[in-house]
Amino acid sequence: MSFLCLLSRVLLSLIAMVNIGLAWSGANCQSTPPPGSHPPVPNKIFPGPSPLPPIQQQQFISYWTSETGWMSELQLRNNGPQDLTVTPVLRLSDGTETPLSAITIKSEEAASVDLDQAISASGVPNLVGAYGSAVLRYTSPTQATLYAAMMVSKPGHPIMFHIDATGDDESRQGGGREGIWWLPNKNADGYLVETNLGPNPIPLVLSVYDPSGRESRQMHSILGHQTLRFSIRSLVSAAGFTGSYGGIKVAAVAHAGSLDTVHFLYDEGAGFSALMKMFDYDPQATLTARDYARTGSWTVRAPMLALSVPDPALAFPSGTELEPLLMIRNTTAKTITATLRFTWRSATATGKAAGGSLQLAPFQTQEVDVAALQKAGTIPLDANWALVTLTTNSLPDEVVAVAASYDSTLRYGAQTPFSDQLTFRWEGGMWQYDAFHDSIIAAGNGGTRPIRARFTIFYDQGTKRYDLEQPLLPDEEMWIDVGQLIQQQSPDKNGRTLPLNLTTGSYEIADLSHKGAGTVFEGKVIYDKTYGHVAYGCAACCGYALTTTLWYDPLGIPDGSGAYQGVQVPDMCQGGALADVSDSFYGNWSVQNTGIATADYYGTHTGVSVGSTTSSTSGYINSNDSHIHCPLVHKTPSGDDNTSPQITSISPTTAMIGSNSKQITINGAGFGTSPTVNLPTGFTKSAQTASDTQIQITVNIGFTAIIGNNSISVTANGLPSNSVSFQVDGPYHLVVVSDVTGPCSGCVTTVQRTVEYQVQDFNPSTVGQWTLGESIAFNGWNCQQTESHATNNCSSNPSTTGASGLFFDTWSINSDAYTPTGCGFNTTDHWQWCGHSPNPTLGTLTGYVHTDHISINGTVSPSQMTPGTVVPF
Amino acid sequence: MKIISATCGLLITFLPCLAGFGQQQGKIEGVVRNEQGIAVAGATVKAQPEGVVLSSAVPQIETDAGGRFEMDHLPSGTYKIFAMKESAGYPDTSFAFYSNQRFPKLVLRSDAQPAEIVLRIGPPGGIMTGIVSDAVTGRPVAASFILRRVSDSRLWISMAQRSDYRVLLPPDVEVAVEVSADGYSAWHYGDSVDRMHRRPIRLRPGEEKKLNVSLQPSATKAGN
Repeated sequence: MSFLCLLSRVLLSLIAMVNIGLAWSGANCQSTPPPGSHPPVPNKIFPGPSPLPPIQQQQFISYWTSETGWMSELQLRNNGPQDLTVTPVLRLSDGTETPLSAITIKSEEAASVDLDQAISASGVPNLVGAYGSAVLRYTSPTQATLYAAMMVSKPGHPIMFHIDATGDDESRQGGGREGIWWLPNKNADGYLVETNLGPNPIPLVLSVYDPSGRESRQMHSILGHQTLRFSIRSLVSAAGFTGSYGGIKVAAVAHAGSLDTVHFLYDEGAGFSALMKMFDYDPQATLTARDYARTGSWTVRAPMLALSVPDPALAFPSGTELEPLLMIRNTTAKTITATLRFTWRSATATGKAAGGSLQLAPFQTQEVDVAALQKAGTIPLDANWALVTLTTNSLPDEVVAVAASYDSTLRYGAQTPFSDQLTFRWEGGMWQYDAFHDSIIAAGNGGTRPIRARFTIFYDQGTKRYDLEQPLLPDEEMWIDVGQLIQQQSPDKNGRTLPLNLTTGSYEIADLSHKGAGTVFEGKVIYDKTYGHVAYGCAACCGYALTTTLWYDPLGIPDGSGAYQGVQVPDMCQGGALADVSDSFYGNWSVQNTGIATADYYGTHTGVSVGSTTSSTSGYINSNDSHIHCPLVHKTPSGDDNTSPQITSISPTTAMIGSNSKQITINGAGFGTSPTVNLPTGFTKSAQTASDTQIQITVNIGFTAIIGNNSISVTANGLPSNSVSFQVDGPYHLVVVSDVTGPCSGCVTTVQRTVEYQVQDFNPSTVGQWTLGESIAFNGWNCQQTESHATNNCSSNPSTTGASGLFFDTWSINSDAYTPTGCGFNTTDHWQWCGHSPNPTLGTLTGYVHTDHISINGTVSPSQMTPGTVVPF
Repeated sequence: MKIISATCGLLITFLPCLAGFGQQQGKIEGVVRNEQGIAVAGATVKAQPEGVVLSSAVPQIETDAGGRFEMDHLPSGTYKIFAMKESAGYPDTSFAFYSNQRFPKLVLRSDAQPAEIVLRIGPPGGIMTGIVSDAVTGRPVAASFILRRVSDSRLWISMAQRSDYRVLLPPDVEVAVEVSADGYSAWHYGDSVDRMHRRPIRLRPGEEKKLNVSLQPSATKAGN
């Protein structure tokens, strides 16, 4: 490694340690792949088995209600490869728990639970007309195996909210939740819901701000597992604020990781509802962990902002005009600059537009009128949708934003949530398509380089899939109208179409260009034509465990040749199955002792000389935190390397057992001058000469050698080479030549059966003359007379076959004197080769000998074994 | 007396210990001659102990170029002695079908001198050869041959044969021939359908008869 390279690595490490944001360019010592090199092709199978044990897991959903006029539907999706059994547990607002019936979900299947029905089945009256939070308990190696969300709606009204599941982080103390309040008319109201996911009471400070940043605060506590609800209008009114929007914050000095909040608005009269997404504020969050696009700036995106002229697919009444707006808030006491840009799409075109910069004073909330930008020509008037990208000079979550697009009556509209999250894969929940519903899903590239993205629909309980792939430029989105795909029978990349009667399923979005740290984001809206409402939903980001390991540790590198090395890590969405994330570590490989091995851009190691060293690499991957977010983490996996002697050829590759003074030539590299040749059992060395590239050894192959394929390797400098096969030939098994039955001479009713066998060698093209014996077991004698029988074993009476290995074996009672007719005995006869120690069995004959019938290995006389039949061992 | 080397390439020696047979050991030696009195080289001689049940190789040895043989370390007792050389048309007379119950016996005593015998074989049997095939497809079929003396149906033999079969028949004896294979109707020499028209086959010593056999696939059984 060059000094500059080393220096840049040290600097990078220091930067990571002090949490200073920095563009990633320059972090890569081998910034471009060397000509002719290529990525490692693992001779490992991915996904590999999970190294993580199944344990009890929990996720939480912070709000459900069964109050009059409301309905709650729990949606679940199993991201993992095996069936998943989930027990939903409802907590009342005071934290009292009631488990519901468990539900088993197949791999990639999405399922839903109607809470009204489930509560009715539970027989617990306290759950009727109540609200609270929910816990989902299941056993899995990873928490992210399950995707879950609660859909809370008011049937008969265009009011619906999507509430994602989250996790409890009892280790995080300080922090809170940041959001924006909005009262767009005089009647709209809603709730700020606070839920304590954990068991510890949390003292809280609840602040509301007017647009200028003026604060009104109140203090209260929330007990373990408790849910509290506050009227937004009451909070604003109590603060004395008169505007229509401002900031809201719930702060905790302890157990902040157990706090979750939900904030939603509705106005039954106007037919209006909005979900005001709130954001975790973690004072320990670093830009390094959240700068997913590696631009050096913290960026959030809203992927599906409905513009003034709504997409006809949303089925709003003709002439509906939306008033898209953004509310952007500075959560800090410092001034922050935020820059907007739009990537719009109309029915016929796409384009980009700069949205200008905002100077956000401390705690200030500003509104951006996107409709005005359209009227001013910044964004075309006929554009239907826009991806909104907000770039700041702040740390993560110091700026929060909400997007909303409603008509002037608030009756028709849609929302899209802001998020900074980019990752390599998203596991989506349920989509719907029928006469009253459709789903539009967007997948975009938030990175700075082109990628290839894949969108997958799973259906028929997750057993079938439909895949679309598309290259995406930075900021570009692939736009999927699921109903259109079904209706138009559009073929996927494999030529498959979706069934015309398909109404629901789940989905997945993947970055095919980056396996370790991806740059895709996603958005989904489901519109309901019944009440004219559009609700958004989110997928769950996928991340990895923190336990990155190398494919091979130690890595065996043949001297003078290459060996692929890569990085693997448990995929938390896939139940901890090992995934290949090598691409995140390209360009950062280094080897401690380059006199022993070197590593290229891709991690392919080349053996320089025989010996041991270590190598390491570094890179960023999406992890999975306890809130099921996917921050970037920097990992530096390392492992041992052994450059070993390599055998490239051996000659000859076969010899007959009992051969003496057999000369074997071994060619290769790294043998040194005094290598040890590791010979198979029964081989004895009588002479050896060696150079670094060739060994000549003379051996005797004794009768204790193992007939069949053996291995020969070389050890030099304490390191073993690869093994090569060496075949020892010799008698191996018995083959039937002929099988004859008939009365024995001197007999009238008693038959004898004479089978001629041939001893075949391991290499069937050779034959020989061999000394044989039998290990015979008799039992079940049931004739009236006493018996005498013959034995023929290696220790006392070894016998010799003909030159071609042929011999006869006769079974018979051998006299009519034995009665009653049909009597006889059972026998097992192991034919053994007496010339080997220990005597190997060449074939085993099992059966019975009766006066009138003889059975050998299941063939009962007068039927015969077919010539050529190989006798089992 | 010439002692046959144990390493001779053509030697076959199987000299079992006979449980319950005499524990003293003796030796049999002699020569195999054909019907013209000529010594037969490469014949297999078997000494099958009487009163002993078998599930192993019986003592057997090949004759040398002078037709001589020698079996040592044989437990004392009574032996049925057989000689055969199928390649020359002399069948395995340890089967009653071929010996017609005529074969020599020898009582071996350990305290006596080596038993010296002259084994006469021959005249050679008739040789039936040909191809067994599927009557519909012509495909070769491995088959089972059952041969039965017409004069005494208790004397029969059953043997597995490849499609290109070679079967020895006792000379100047009328033999009923049945050929069968899994999935095929049995074939009988003469007429496979009408039992009354079946005929035996009789071959002179050394006579070779070529006979191709076509097996009819059996009708498929109706399912239950």
